[in-house]
Order: sequence, then C-alpha cells, then structure tokens
Amino acid sequence: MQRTGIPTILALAALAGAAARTLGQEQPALAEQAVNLALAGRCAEAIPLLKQAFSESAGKDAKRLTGKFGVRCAMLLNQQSEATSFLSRLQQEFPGDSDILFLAVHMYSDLAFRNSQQLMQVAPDSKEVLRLNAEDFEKAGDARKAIGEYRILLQRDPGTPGIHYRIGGLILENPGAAGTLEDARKEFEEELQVDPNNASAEYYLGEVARQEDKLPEAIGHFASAAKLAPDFAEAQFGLGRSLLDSGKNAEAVAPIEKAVRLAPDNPTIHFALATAYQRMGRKDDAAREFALQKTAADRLNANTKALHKNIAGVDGSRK
Amino acid sequence: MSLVKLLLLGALAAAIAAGQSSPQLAESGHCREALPLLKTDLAKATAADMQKRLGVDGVRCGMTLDDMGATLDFLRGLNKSFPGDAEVLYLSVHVFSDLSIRASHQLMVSAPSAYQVHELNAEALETQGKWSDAEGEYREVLKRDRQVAGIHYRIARLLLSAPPDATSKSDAQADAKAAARRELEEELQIDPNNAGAEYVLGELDRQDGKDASAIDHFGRAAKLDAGFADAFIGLGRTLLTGNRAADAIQPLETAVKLDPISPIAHFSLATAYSRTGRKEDAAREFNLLKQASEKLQQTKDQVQQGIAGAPPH
Repeated sequence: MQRTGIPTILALAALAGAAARTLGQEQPALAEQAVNLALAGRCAEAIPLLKQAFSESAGKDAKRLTGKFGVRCAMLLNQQSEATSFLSRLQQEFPGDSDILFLAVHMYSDLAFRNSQQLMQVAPDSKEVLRLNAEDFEKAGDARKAIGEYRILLQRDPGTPGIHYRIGGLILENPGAAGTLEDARKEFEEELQVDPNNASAEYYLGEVARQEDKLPEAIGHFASAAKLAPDFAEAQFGLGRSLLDSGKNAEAVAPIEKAVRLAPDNPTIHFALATAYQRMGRKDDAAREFALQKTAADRLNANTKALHKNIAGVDGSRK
Repeated sequence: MSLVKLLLLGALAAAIAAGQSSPQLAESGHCREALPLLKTDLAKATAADMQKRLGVDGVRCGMTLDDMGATLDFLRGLNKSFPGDAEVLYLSVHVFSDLSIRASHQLMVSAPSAYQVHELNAEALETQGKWSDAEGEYREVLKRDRQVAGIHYRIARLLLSAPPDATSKSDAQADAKAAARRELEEELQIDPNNAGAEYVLGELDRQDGKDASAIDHFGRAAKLDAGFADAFIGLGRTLLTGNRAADAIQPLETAVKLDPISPIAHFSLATAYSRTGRKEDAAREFNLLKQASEKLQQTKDQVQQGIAGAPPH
C-alpha cells in the first residue's frame, strides 16, 4: 500500500471509539483490541481478531472499521487471499458505497501491480512477460512496439492462442500505421488455425467482411461467432444487422432480439430491432423498440455527460 | 423448486447428456451452465493440469458473469495450488486490473458527485503529469469535505513535483516550497499523525539548512511510522550534517535494515561509522554501498530494456 494510506488508517482510528459504543459488552473489547493491534503495526496478530470482530459485529460502523483495517493489514503482510476476502465481505456489506469502492479501486490496482512484479521476478523470460509488455505498449498507444513484442512471442511459441487475434485487432485500430485491412484479415484467419474456437476472431472477420460489403461472408462469420459464444451480444447484433442489410428481415429478428436481451442499454441494437419489426409490419413492437431506443440513448447521453463533467472537473474551467 | 432452477437443472442435464465436460461448456461460452459444474469438478480433480484448467475456466466464467465471489474463490485456489506459476500470475494481473476498473466505473455511476470520484480523477491526472489539473481535482475534494485526510499532503507533493517556470526558476521554486509548507501544516491540523507530511516538512527544512527543525520533523515521522526508511535516513543524514555522527548511527542502522538496497542509507551509515572511528564497520558498509549501487543500476537497465521493448518489424 502507498504511504499516503497512513492518514486513512489514522482517521479510521477515530472511528474506533464510536464503533465500540455501538457494540455489546464483549464485542467492543474485541474490535478495539483488533484495531489497536493493527494501529501498532502488529498485523499478524490483528488479522484473526479483525476477522472475528467483522463477523460478530452488529453495527455497520464497526464492520466498516474492522473490514478496512483487515484489508490494510493483509496488504501490508502481502496476504492477498486475506485482502480479497476482507474486501469481498465489505463489498457485500456496503454495496455501492463510495468509500468501499474507492478502496477496491486501489487495492485491486495494487494487487495487479504486485502480481506483475512477481511475474517479472519469477519468470522474466516467459511468454507471459512478453505479453504483459505488449499490453503495456497497447495501453500507451504504441501499436508498432506492441506488435513487435507479440511477434517475438509467436517466434518462441507459434501455437499460443490469442496472439494473432491481438495483432489483427491492433491493425484494425491503427489502419495504415500498423498494416492493412487485408493484413488484419490474415491475422484473424491465422488465429482460427491456432484456435478454431476464438469467437472474437470470427466476429472481427465478420466486421471486416461487412465493411467491405461482403454480406454473405459476414453472415457466415457472425453466425460462427454467435454459435461459439451464444452470449456474445455484438456477434448476435452483427449477424442480425447483416441479415437485415441483406433484406432477410424475418431471419434478422431472432439474433437481434437476443442481442437486445444481452445488451439492453445499447440504443443501436434497439434501433435495429425496431427497424426489423417495422419492415415486417409489426408496428406495435416497432413502436415499443423505438421508445426503448430513445430511453437508452438518453441514458447513455446523460451518463456520458456525467463522466465528461467528472473528468473535466466540476467547474469546467480546466482543460 | 423454482421454475428457474428446474430449467437450469434441465440445461445442465442436457449438457452432461450431450457429453460436454465443464471446461468444454466454459470454453464454448456457456458460462452460466458451466460455473456450478466447474466448482464441483474442481473439488474432485486430482491431476494438476485439470485443476489448473478448471480454475482458469472458473476465473474467466466468473468475470464474464460478473460474479466476483466465484472469480476470487477460483483465483485464490489457483494461487494456492500453483504459487509462482507464470500463467496464474498473468491471469491474476488481468483479473485484479479488471476488478479495479470495474470498481472505478461503479463508483462513477453510483456516486458521480462523491469526493472519491474527484480523488480518483486527481490521481489519474497526477500519473499523467498534469499537475495543475490534478491540483484542481484535489481542491474539489476539499470543497466537498474539508476534513478529508491526505489531500493537503497530496497537493503539497504536487506543488513540489511540478516543473518550475523556466523564466523565474528560483522564485517559482521558493513560492512552491512556501505553498507546499502551508499545505503540509494544514494536513497536520487535520491529521496530526501523517508521517508523510512530517517527513516532507523535514526535507524542506533540511534543504533550507534548518537542521534542528528538520531533525524534529524526521524524528516525529520515524516515531509515527516505524517502517518508514526514508524518515530514518533523513534523520540520520541531518544528524551527520550537524556533526552528531554518534547520534546518527542508530537511525541509519534502522534505515539499512528497512531498506537494504538504498545506496544513500549505506553511504550515510559508512560515513557515520568512519567519523566515530569504527573503520571495519565503515569498510563493510562501503562495500554494501557498492553492491547496492550496482544492483540499482542493474534494475534500471532492466527497466530501460523493458520500456524500449522489441524492435518493430
């Protein structure tokens, strides 16, 4: 944990007294004892008591307090299993609580970092490290370097599933700079040679074909993707949309209906379903879907605005 | 028994009848049906390969279904059965990173105006080097709750990290230091036990040649957090500067125990030993200093190599 976490702990200590007052005769002693041990840095002794106090506490404040100290102590001792266990229980106890969610963001991020460090130490030459490096380059927007790392990985182990797929995805995201549409298609096809069950590779082959207006080919790939992963909303939608564009309105309804069930907040899918119903003369169904499309679009806009507002800062004066 | 349970059992029975194992179900995207079977199969599995496959499938299905409890149960099992396994560590990195992102999204959606959202924004801006934007977000946190611990400390750190204005470098640095000092003092009003704030105040005093005050701050920081190596180093170095080599030994010995690869801790301790006539101890520490410096350089080279990555094809 970061050193800046110390104030949080000490601020929590102020809650200890309040928490104790909310408990019965035996419990405050237990919670206080556990918290005091944690505050004194005696986390190995504190953890079993914190666990017990968390389970036995009736009051919310005491649960929050002992749970957070549990996370803190487990992280200090690098007991990852204990840390995730304390956090899971906190999240169950306080669903949607901003304080606990904030703790979760940090704890999980810290655990991801620790595991990546451990991976670098125990297996620096492994393909997993190459893969992590490539993903870091992807995050940094350096597609060429990411592809370079993936190629080294393929030289070492050409049969690793998922790598051609990632390269294909990078080419699609960076048209021109990282390769052509044809290069991307080749990568997805090679992926299916390695792993015929990669639904995402089938999906992207469908997308490439759709963009090139090769609708029968697109339908074939989307159908394969949807068969491989029935809950893959985008694949169901791609299939339905391609059927709709091919004039096969009746056939389009089932996959788009499934896509709507899987992704009810997506306005584009509601719009496609409304169109399919309309073309088939199902006016009431079409009207309902158009209404749902509007609701979903309004909600999406509101969420996007809220996110932008938060990202830009409340007064909007900073860029 | 509810209709849903009956239907689920029906689907399971159909899957088993069709001869599909739980990994096959999971790997073909039927996570809802696969998850309960993966749990029972894992409890019975004895071969390591099968245990790993079931565990990995369980983690992936748990994430797909947004079932955090199941995900973490499977992941704990994998880490327990396969400690230090590269594939499991790689999976762990992704699961934890994903859970962190999901928690931040949930926070933004469920409590978009909470001060924690601004704190997260500030941290993200800080990592991007957008100092002034980050400071603005931290100020938003304080507007919502003036008593949030750690925020003045973060602002002080930002003020000290921001690159000075090129046209008036020394004035800007002095202004930033004065502003940072005010923030740190405000932090200690809110949270008198903030060891980090005490430490930075000590560093500012040390840089300004106010050794007595620096020693007080470093001493308090070390007392507040007995594992804070930098506070012990600061205390020891400042005592050395004030020709109190004998007093410096104890904090510096603590510092090298806490951070055995810190070249500055070894160098300062070697100097303290040397000045108090402990030549053998000094020689040992200088030797450890050399080793620590070499190790540090090695790590830097490895990191550099990692950043440069493979040449593009």
